[in-house]
Amino acid sequence: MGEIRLVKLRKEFKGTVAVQGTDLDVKEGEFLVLVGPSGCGKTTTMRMIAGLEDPTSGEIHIDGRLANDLEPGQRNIGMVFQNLALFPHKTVFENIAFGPRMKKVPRDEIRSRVEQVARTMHISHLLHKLPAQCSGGEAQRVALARTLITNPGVYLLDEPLSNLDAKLRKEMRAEIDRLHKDLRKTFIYVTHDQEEAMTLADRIVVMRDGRVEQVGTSMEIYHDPVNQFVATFFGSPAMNILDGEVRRKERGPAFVFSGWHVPLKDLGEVPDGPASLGVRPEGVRLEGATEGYRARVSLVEPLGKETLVYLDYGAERLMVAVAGPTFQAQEGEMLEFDLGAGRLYLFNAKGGRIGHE
Amino acid sequence: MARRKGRRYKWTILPMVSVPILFLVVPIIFFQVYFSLHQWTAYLGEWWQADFVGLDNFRDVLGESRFYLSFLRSLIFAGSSTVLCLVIGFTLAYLMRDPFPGRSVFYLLFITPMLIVPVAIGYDFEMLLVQKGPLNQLLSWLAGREIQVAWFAEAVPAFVSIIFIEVWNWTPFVFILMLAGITSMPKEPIEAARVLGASPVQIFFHVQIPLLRPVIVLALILRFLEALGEYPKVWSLTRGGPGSYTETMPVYLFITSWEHFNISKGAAMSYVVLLVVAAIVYLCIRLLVREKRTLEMLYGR
Amino acid sequence: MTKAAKRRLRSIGRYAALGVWLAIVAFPLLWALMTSFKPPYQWFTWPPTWIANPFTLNNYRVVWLGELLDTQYVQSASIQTPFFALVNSIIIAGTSTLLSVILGVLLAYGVSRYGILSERSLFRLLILRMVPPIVVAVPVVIYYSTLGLSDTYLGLIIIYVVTTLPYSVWMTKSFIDEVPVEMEQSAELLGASRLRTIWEVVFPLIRSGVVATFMFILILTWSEYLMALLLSATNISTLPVQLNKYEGSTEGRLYGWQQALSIGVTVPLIVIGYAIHKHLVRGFSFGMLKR
Repeated sequence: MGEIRLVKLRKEFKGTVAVQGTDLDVKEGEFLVLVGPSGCGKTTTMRMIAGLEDPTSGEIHIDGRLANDLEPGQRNIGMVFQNLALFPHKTVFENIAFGPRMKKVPRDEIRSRVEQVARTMHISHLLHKLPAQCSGGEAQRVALARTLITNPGVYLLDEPLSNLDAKLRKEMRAEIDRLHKDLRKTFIYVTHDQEEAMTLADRIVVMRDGRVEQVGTSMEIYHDPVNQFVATFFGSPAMNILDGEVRRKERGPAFVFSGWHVPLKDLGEVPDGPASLGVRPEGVRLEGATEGYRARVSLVEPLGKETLVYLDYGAERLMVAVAGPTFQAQEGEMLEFDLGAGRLYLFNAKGGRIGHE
Repeated sequence: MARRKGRRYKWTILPMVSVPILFLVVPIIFFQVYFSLHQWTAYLGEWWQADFVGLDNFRDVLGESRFYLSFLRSLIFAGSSTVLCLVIGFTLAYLMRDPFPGRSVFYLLFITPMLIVPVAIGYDFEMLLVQKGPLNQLLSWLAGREIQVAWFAEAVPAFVSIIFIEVWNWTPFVFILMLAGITSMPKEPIEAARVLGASPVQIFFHVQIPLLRPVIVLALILRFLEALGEYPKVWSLTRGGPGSYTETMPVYLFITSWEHFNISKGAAMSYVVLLVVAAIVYLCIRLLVREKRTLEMLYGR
Repeated sequence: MTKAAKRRLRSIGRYAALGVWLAIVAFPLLWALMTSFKPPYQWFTWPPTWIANPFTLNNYRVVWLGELLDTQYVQSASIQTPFFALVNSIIIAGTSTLLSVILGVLLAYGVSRYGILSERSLFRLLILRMVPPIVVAVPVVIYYSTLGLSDTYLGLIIIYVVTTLPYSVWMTKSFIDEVPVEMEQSAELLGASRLRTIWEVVFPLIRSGVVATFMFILILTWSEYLMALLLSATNISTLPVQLNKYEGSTEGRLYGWQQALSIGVTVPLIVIGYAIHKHLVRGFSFGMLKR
């Protein structure tokens, strides 16, 4: 129950390819997040799973059956839309009761089920109100309740939190997480927010321009990105990308940038030529630096639990480093930093990951 | 500051607009009342010399079955043509809600009847509906047998004709409103309903129609009131005939005032009709205001 | 049945249904057009003449150019050219539309920005339109003849302005509402006067809307029949009223000529209607549509 399999799923719209030949297996009960920038195809993919969009080619299997020709209502799924899509002319009660009512469930049973679901979602006091009279968070719960009552095998959530303010977003995120753990059903969640993806997902599917870039757990995605796009998408502040060259010299293979020289241990087959080095901000160590790199402080941002330091190392972009909460520096000051504290990632000119570092 | 500006603006503009309106409306009400209470025969003197006859004119009008019949005919005419316009207009709009090749061509052609001068439509159909005319010939060809309906000379066909022409003329009006309403409906509630397992029929009645209620009500009100007062087409087509079978209220009013020259009776009749229509209009405006509130509640501002 | 086959069937069904109504709409239009090209002996025949053969432009020449043609078929040579009525129509419709739009814009701006009328009042304005004109025809005629306004341009113009005002107010208001107030406010903060703000910020943005409103009201005033009929005699006459004149004493209705006039009167309206077809619905949706 709740397994989904996508085989070479492809969707074209008048000339553009929204989703390119995607294969994906969704395990029963897992929390899968489709994440990527706008237009990457994540929502389209979800809509195809739901049956609201027909694939140009490829297959969708739900619970082991081919679902391509099934209507959305026959696929044993529930969906929460980005703008909630509550029926504005119906009360909260009627909204929640809609699903069972369409399936001709007897009225008494509907009533008890609605009340039960309302209790679970803490909205019992809203049942007689209209959606327009509910706040953002309340409406969100109504949308969830409406799906919950139909007890589907798979829950599809399309950017459900993007219309909420920051504080509410964190609250609802926790709620959704709790809901998933209680229900133990498959959740497929679409978002463009990498932080949401990292915190909620069992597995993450990173998409760009209709293609799946990487599938993995949060840790895999974060620590082992398959290319530059994935590496810079996750993590805030984003990973530092230093443009330079790989050169095999007398001293051994090294990455050369802005006059600096980073020795590389295991290059393997990597040829000489233009490349980029990736370092996460937390990997740029400012305190107790010994490696001898130097740069000028451009901006210091104290954030409370840590301090962000922006360094000008002679290139166009600034390097971002993370220092402790008590770190202090003057603008214009010259600072020493280490690069070897964390992992280093090497990317070729096209953004692919090369070497093992 | 803004309020002061607003007030200044208000008191400059409103008089500008109110003057022509009051210039027309107030005297008309006066004359309406005056003439319904006086007996004026044009060639006997000026209107201010007319005799006061109290409620005699009203007695004439209200005691006359011809008047009631004409009003009844107007109600049937307006009611059935409005309902038909709604059904056809809505169906057309519903069929055209999604883009398809040729959609704009259909749209332009469908709105055309509304752009044609009504009296011209009347004369056009007069040509078509002549007993030995193209419509009958076409119908005969379609049915495979001789059809020679006397669209003017017989009561029921004549009434059907005027209803049909009204529907032909004004369906575009309802069509445009319905199409705009349907296409501006948010898609997500419908998709949500699909995912929740509702059949297309269920979606239609439980989601789409309720969302369209304000537009539907508006179309019904506007069309009904306009159809009550429809004059040019009926007049140019049948003049109320045969006999008085298509004599709707505007036609009878016209005949009374301008063919029989019974101005006083015409005024009294207008007055009665005006009162009834005013009552209907008042109710309709309240209904419209309420629908607007519903709309705002549905969609926020 | 597969989804694709279902879709094809639905598509065919849709074209069929729409095609039926299209035929119903097109039939009278084509007939009128065809008749305008028929020589007099084909105007009223049994069996009816479906295709004008020989195709002739004489009807148009008689009606619009005043040429004396086809007198062997039709005796009524007393039909005057409608140029007189055409000029009148242009003057009356044009002036009343212009005034209506100007007043409408002024009022709409006040309602939109200053709320000078409540929503209820705005709806009450619709009364001017919802009352069937026939019902006030008698007092209007007498009132006007007392004032000497019968058979004058001014008289008819006043009526048209008042009865189209609800439409022009509502329609321009919907356009003005779409210009965010913040734009005017930022212009004023930057030092522009109210008048300059309206002229340089608001007006360019609603210009096309105002044009559409103008065209819409023009259609209404151009095709108005009852008041024009009752209030015109010798001095003025509008085109729709002229259509009545095409009845010969012996020949009955002079269809060909009548249709030639009819087509000429109607074509400008159709052209205008098509030009503003995207905005038509704004004219009479009175706030009932979500924007």
